[in-house]
Amino acid sequence: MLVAGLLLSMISPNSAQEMSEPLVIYSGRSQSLVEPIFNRFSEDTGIPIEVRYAGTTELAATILEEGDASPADVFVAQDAGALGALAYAGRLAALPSDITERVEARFQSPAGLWIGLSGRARVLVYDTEQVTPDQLPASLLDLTGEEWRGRVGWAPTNASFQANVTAMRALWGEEVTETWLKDMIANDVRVYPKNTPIVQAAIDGEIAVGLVNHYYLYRFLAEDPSVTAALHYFPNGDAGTLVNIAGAAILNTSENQGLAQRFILYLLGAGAQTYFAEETYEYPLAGGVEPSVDLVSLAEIEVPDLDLSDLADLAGTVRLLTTVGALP
Amino acid sequence: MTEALRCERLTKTYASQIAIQDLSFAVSPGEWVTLLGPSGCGKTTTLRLIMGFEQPDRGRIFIDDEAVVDRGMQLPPEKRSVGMVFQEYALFPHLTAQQNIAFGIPKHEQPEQRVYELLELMELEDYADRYPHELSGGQQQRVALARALAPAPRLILLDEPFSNLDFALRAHVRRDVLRILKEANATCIFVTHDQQEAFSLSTRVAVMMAGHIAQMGTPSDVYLRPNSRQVANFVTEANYLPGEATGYSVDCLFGRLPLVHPQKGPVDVMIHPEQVELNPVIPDDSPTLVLPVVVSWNEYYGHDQRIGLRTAEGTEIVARSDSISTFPPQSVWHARVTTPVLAFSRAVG
Amino acid sequence: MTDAPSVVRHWGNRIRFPRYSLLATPLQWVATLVVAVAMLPMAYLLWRARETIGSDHIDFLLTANTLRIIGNSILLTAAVAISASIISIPLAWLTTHSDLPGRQIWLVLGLLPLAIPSYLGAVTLTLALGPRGLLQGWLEPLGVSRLPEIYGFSGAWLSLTLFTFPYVLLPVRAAFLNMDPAMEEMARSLGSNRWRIFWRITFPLLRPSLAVGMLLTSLYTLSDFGAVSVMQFTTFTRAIYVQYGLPFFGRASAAFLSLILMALALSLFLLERRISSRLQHFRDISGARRPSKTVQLGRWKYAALTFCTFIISLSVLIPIVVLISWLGRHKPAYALPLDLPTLTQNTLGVAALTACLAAIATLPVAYLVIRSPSQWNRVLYRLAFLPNALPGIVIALSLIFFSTRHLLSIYQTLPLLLLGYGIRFMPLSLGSTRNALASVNLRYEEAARGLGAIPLRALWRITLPLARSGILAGMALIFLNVVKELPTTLLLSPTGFQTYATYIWNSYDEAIFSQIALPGLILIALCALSLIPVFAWDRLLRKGNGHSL
Repeated sequence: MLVAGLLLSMISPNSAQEMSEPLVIYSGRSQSLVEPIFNRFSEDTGIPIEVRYAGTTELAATILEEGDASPADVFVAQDAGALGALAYAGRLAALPSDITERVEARFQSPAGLWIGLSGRARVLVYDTEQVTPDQLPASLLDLTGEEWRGRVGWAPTNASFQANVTAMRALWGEEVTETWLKDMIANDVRVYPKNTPIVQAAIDGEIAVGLVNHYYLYRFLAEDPSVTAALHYFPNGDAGTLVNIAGAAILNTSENQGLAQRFILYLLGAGAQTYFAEETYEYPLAGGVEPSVDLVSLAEIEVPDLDLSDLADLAGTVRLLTTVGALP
Repeated sequence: MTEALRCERLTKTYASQIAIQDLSFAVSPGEWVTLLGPSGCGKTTTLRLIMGFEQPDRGRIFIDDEAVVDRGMQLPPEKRSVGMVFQEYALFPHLTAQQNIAFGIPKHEQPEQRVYELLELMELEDYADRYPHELSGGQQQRVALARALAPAPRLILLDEPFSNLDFALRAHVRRDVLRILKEANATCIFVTHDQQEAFSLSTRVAVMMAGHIAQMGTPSDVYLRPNSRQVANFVTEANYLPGEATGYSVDCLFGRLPLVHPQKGPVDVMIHPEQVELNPVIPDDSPTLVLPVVVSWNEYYGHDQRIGLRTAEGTEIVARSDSISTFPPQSVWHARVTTPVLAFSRAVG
Repeated sequence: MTDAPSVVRHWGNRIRFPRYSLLATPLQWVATLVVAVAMLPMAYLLWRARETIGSDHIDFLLTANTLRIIGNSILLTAAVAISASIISIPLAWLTTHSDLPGRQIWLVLGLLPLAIPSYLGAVTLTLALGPRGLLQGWLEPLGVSRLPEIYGFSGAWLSLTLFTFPYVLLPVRAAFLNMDPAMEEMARSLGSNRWRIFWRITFPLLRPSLAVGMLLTSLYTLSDFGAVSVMQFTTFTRAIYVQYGLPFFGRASAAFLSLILMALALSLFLLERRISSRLQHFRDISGARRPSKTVQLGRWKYAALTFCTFIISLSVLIPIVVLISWLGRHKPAYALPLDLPTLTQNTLGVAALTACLAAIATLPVAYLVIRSPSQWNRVLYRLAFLPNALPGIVIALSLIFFSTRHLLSIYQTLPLLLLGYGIRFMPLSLGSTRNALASVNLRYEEAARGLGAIPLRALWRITLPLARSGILAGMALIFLNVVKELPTTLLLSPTGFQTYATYIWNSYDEAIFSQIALPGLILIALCALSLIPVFAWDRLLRKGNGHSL
C-alpha cells in the first residue's frame, strides 16, 4: 500500500500546480503549435493551466458528453464549425464586448459566443517534383479525375477538412458534395489522421497533392527551405480555398469565467498574435499585427461567397461523411 | 483439570457419506492415546476435527475442559493451542529449520531462547540454518516435532508420524520422538494403521472401525481381549477354530480349553499364534490335548518366527516361536494350548 | 469410504473451505466486488446500448458502412490467423524437432515480436516499406519507382501477422514438445512417408493447440487499434475511435459498434476457452514422454535458415533498424518536447502500479476458487476472465461513458486510467496466480494455523511466499501489457499525462518520425526486459500454451 501511494504520487500529473485551481483548456489545436504560447500565458500571468490536447471534433464531442459536469473552462478549436456546433447546443457563454470588439465581425460568432484567434486558408499542397503548376486543378471537383488516382491525400477526421465539406455543401449543395466524396473514395484517395502527415507525405512524394490548411507547409520550409512542396490556392471562389479561423470560446458551465476571459484576451493581444503570425504562419486577426511577409494576403485570396456561420452544420457533414464511408 | 481432551458424539459426513459417527472418547493429561484403524475408518478426520481444520456436523469437543466446538461455536485452529505433526511433515519449504520452529512462538516470548532449547532437545543444533530439503527424513521429522512443541501446546496430535520413514530409520526415530515427548511431558494422540506401532507407543489404544470407536483400552487389553471379531481381525493374526462353549470352558481341536469370559453355544475360538506351544516330544501330563502337527512353512523374522502347521485332518494353524529353535519343513511337532482363550459366538445361520 | 474424502486424493484442490474460517466471508465479499468492477464496462455498455437501439440512429448505423467494418474485421482476423500459423508451424517444428543450428536463439528471436507494440511496428513498417521508405530508397537505382501498396489491408495484415505470430508459436511449440514420438515412429514403420505422416498423424494432433493459437491471434487482431490505424484499414477499433471523436451521435455509434465488437470478441474468447480446457485435459491424461528424435535437416538446413532469417528480419530487425536509422535525423523545432525521465516515470509507474493492484485484486478470486471451489466462487473465477476478451478501446470507452455520467470525481484522473488497465489486464495474472496457489499444499497453511497463525498471517507468511514466482510472472505479464497498451492510455489518461505509448502515437500523428526513434527503442527495450520474467517464471516455454499472454 505504501509502495502504491508512493508510485501514485510519483506519477501524478502536474502535482506542483494543484495548490490553486488551474484553468482547464481543451485544445483542438496541436500541442506542437500552441503549447509555447499557452505556457507563455501561464508564465506571464501566473495563472496555472491544464491543457487537454486532442482533435477539435473529438473535444467538441467530449464536451457534449460531459454535459454540465465538464471540467473544461475554455475550448480552443481549429475551426469555426465545431465552435458553431457547441454554440448551437447551448454550451457556450456570451463573450464580453472588450473581447468581441477586437476582431472583425466576419471572424466571430454573430451571437458573440465564440471568437476567431487566427485565420487560415484551405489550400492544396503539392509535390513540386510530381506536379507542375500548369497541371494543378482549377477546382476541388477536378480531383476525382483519373490522373489523380491514388495521388490525393485528405484527413476526414480533421475539423478543418470537415469545415471544408460543410462549405462545399453550402456552396454546391448536398448532391454535388456527396457525389464528389464518393468519387474521391473510388479514386483511391489516401487517408491521413491530420494535416501535418499530409504535408509530410507530399514532401516525401507519397502523394502528389493533399487538402490541408496553409500554414503547415511553412513549418517545414522553416526547418528546411529545400523541401519540394508548394501551395496552390484554388481560383474563382472555389470551395477548396475557404478562409476559416482557429478560435476560442468559454463554456457556460465554467466557474472561471474571469480567468477564461483573461486567457482569450491574452491570445488576442499583440504578443500572441505576433506568435500566430511568425511561429505558426497564420493570419493574425487582432492587435494590428501583420501576417508574416511570405503569406498571400487575405485580400488576394479568392474566397467563396460564404460566412463562417454557414459552417455550423457539422452534424450534417459528419452524417454525410459517415454515410458515404469517408468516416468509418 | 480432569481431562486433556473430550470428544462427545462427534458426527461428520462428506457429501452424504458418513466419515465419523457418534464418536466419543476422552484423554487424560499426560496420556498417550493411539487411534488405530484401517485406512478410511475416520481416524484422520478425527484429528482434523480436534485441530479445527474441519467442522463436525454434530457433537462437542473440549480441550482442558474448555469447549472448542459446541453447538455452532467453533474456535479457529489458531486459538486451540493444539500442536500437530503431519504425516508428510509440511515443513515450510522456504524457511530454515530454525525459522520453522520459531514460527509458532509469539514474539514476546523470546523465540531465540526457546528455539535453541528445542534444537538442543532434538540434537539438531548443527542443522539450524538448513532448509527442509537439505535435511534427512529423520531430521525433518524432528524439526516437525520441535515446531509443533514450540508454542507449548496443550495437546499434540501426530498423524502417521513414522510412515514416511525407512524401516531402518523408523525404530531409531521412534525412540527419539518418544524420549522427546516424554521430556516435554506432552499429552499425545497418535494416528496409525500399524498395530505394533500403536501398541508400543501408547498408554491406551482406541480401535476405530467405520467411523466410531470399536474398543478403547490398554494395549494388552485390546490385544488379548478384543471385544469383537472385527477388532480381533484387525489387531491380531490369530487362529480361529470352531468350538462349542460350555460356561467356563470350550471344546475344540485342542481339546477343552479355559475361557477368559464365560460363554455358551457354537463359537469361534481365538488362539494367538504365540499361545500355540510346540514340543519336539509329547510333554508329560499335559493338562490339555496334545496335537501332532507337520510344519508346512516358516517365516523367519529375526526376533521371532511364524510357523505354518497342518494337523492330520488338514486344518491349518499358525504358531509363533522364538528365533532360536528351528522348524524344518515336514518335521513333526506336538502342539498344545494351555492358556485361557477368547471365543466369539458364531453368527447363527 | 475414504479417510477424509477428497483431502487425501486432491489435496489443495477440492478441499471444502471449513466454515470456521474468518477469511471466508469477507474474502468472498472482496472477490465478488472485484469481479463486479471487472464486469462494469461490459454491463454498462449493454445498458447504454438501449439508448442507441431505441433511437432513430439505428437505421443510420445499420448501413453498408457497418457491414463493411464487420467484413473488414473478419477478413483481417482470419487472414492474420492463417498467415501467423503458416509462419509458426515450421518455426515451432524447426525449434523442437530439427537440428537447426541455434535453435534456442531462433526461439528467443521468434518470441521477441511480443516486445514490439503493434502501432510502433506498423509505423516502422511504413517507414521501411512505404512509398519513399528505406526499401524504396535502396531499390530506386534498380529502376523500381513504386512498391506495392503498404497502406490498407496488406499493411495491416503484414504488421499484425509479424507482431502476433508468437501467440500461435507458443501453443504449437508446446504441442510439438508434448507429441508422442511413438505415433510417428509407428506410422513410419507402416511405410508412410514423411509428408503423409504430417498430414495424417502430426497435424491432427497439432490441431487443438493450433486452434488455440489462432484464436488468441484473432482476439489480438480484433482488439488491435494501433496497427490498423497506422495502416488506415478500417476495422472495428479504428471505426470506434473515429466515431468516438465525432460530436452528436458519434458516441452513440461508437457504443453501438463496441457492442458488436464485444459480441464477436466474446464468442472467439469462449471458443478459445473451450478448446484450451479440452487441451488441458488431453495433457493431463498423457503421462511423461520421451523426447522426440531430432530430424537431420541436411541440405534443407539452408532453406530453413533463410526462412527464419526472413521472418525475424521483418518482425524484429526492421523495427529496430528503422528506429536506429531515424535516431540521428533532424528534429524540427516544433517537435513535441521529449522529456524522457517523465515518460519513463509515468510509463513504469502506471505499469508497476497496475501490476500490483491487479495482483492484489486477483488474489481473493484465485484463492477462493482453489480453497473453496463452491459454485459461486467458480462462477466468479470464470467471469473474471471475460474482460480480457474486450478490446482496450471498448473498456476505455465504457469507462468514459460511465464516469462522465455517474462518477465524475474520477473522470480524467489516474485512478480511472488504472481501473481501465486493471480491468483489461487483470485476467492475465488470474490463471498464473490460481495455478501458483494450487501448487501450494494446503497442509502448509493448516500447519501455520495450528501454530497459532491467523488466516491472514498464514497467507502472508506461508502461502504467498510459496506462490511467489507464479504471481510475479503474472505481474510481469501485466506490466508488459500496460507498457505496450495504446488505446486505453490514449482515452483514459488524465490531462497532460503522457507515457511512451501516447508520446509515440502523438509524434506519429504529427509525422515527426525522428521523435519516435529514441522513445520507440526504449519502449522495445522495456518490453523485452519484462518478457524475461514472464518466460522464466511461468515456464511457458516448456509446458505452457501461451495462454497467459
